[in-house]
Amino acid sequence: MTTDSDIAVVSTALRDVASGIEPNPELVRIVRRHGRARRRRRNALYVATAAVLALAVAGGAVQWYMPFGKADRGPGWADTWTGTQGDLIGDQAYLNSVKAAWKGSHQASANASRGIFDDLRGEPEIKWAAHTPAGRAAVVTQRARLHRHGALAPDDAGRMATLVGFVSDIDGRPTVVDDDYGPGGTPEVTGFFAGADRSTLIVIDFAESLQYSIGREYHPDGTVTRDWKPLPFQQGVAVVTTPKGVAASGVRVAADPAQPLAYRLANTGDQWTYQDHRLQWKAGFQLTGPDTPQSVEAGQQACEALSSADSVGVDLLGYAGFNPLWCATGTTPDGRSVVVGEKQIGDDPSYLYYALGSGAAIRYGNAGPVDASKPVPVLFALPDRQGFVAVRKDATLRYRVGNGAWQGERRNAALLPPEATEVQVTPAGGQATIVPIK
Amino acid sequence: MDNRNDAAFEEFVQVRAAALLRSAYLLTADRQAAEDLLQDVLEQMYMRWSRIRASPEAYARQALVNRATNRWRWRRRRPEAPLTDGVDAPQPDHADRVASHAAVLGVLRELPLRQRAVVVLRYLEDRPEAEIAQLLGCSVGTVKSHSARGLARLRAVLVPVSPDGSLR
Repeated sequence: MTTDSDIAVVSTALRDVASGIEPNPELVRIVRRHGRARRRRRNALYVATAAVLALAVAGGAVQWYMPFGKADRGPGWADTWTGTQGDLIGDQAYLNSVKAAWKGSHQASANASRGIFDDLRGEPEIKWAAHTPAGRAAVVTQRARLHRHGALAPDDAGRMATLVGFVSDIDGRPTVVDDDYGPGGTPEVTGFFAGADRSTLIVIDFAESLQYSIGREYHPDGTVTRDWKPLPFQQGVAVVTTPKGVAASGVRVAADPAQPLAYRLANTGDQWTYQDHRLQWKAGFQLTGPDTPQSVEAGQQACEALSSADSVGVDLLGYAGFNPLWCATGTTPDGRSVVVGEKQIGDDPSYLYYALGSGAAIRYGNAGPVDASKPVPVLFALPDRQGFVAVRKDATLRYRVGNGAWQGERRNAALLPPEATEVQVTPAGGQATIVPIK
Repeated sequence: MDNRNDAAFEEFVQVRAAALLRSAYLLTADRQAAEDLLQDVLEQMYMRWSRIRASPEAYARQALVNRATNRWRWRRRRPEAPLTDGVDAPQPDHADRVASHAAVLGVLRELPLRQRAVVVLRYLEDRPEAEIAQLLGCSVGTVKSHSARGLARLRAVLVPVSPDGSLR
């Protein structure tokens, strides 16, 4: 059983081990020099060297970088929003019930374990209250002092904070559906989802032109984009009803869609749990040449062309991106290198991607979502009639043209000629299956 | 990068590099690998500074964790050091809780990468479980499980020493 004493012992030990570690005094200079060189290489080669990031980055354009250790916590708009706004401003009974809901919500809050409600200051203020398509909704704030607490990041302790409560009618009663204290290093919370089904997005107007996106689109060239629409601000907020089936956790709000800077939204229902749809092969395969499996390390290096490419299978607002667990490499009939792997964003299906060629001539493509239940989970045509990529770990693969003889037997992976019409796959210890090639 | 951005980047590195390096050190359990990892992340940040300047800490942490837990993208330029390389032999310092550096690093090296990351984020940085789950793209339950197992492994090698130096 874990005790506070155990945690204290381990925390102290880890800090003790790391305490003597200091960075190279020349680090800034080295990073600048290498960073400039990397940028030159990237521009020249059109190969992004940066990694895929499942990130909750940004804080928005309104907030310039502040030296650490000085700023209060909480959203900037809370202090500039004075007085109550919204069409329920005169409904004192509702406003009272919102305050009561706020006061009664602290114990059940996920942030209670951080102690953010332990030292509340002043009275709660209702900043906005109005009718929405999801019923009545409100935003309430209250000042608090954050103290050092086991579950609170040290950077957040010892500060004043503006706590925010987001209130929505649930079963007809005002309910605090989420709260926030503006943890350091995270983007500002700027809106929330109201309604039991989280179908109504309410974004607070803080004099910034904002847009929202409800999802992403996958394109044949490997890129992933988002649709963006302007938020229609009116009387202090923008209220948007999202289409049925759209997950609140996939909605993003940003000031400039051209930049990967998203504000945080509350009550998205995101459990940060992602089902891994990738093929769990964890190996490197060769499509051409010797068909002996490569080491995992070799496969990893080979797949760098895909895993480090910003333009392939990446949604910088996706919050969670997963790189290939396996990689297949080879050489096409016209002499180009080919790299095949898969990437997954959030809970979306895992998509197959390829990189054809190298350097400035590299060409990426999306070969569609992976279906692990298929006899040959990886089977697609390369462009320019360079053949078909077929991969199944621990299986024997053969192909034929029309009714011709089976030929080209390989293990795990093969680059089949463009004339191939069928592939036969025989898993280890299993029966052969014939799969038509389209 | 213009002068304003350059100055902000330099300030960020000066203020945060030590803390980030310490996290990287425990994430990799190797001093050289940690320096490589941090340098790599900072170079990446330098290239993207205009886009990430609003929240560089979050970006840095996410990048460190991503790279440390994903060997597909963690280009280790040096092999991991032997257990005691670069680590002073542990010397009881009469503190109530004295950890053996080598033993701690040894346990960290044996932990699966994601479990190691959970331990570092939870017990070095005091990050809330929900935030760790967000960083690692997993459930809070998984974080709890990893942290409990990691804690147990580390606790087992951390033998408390009394002020007089004797084992308790």
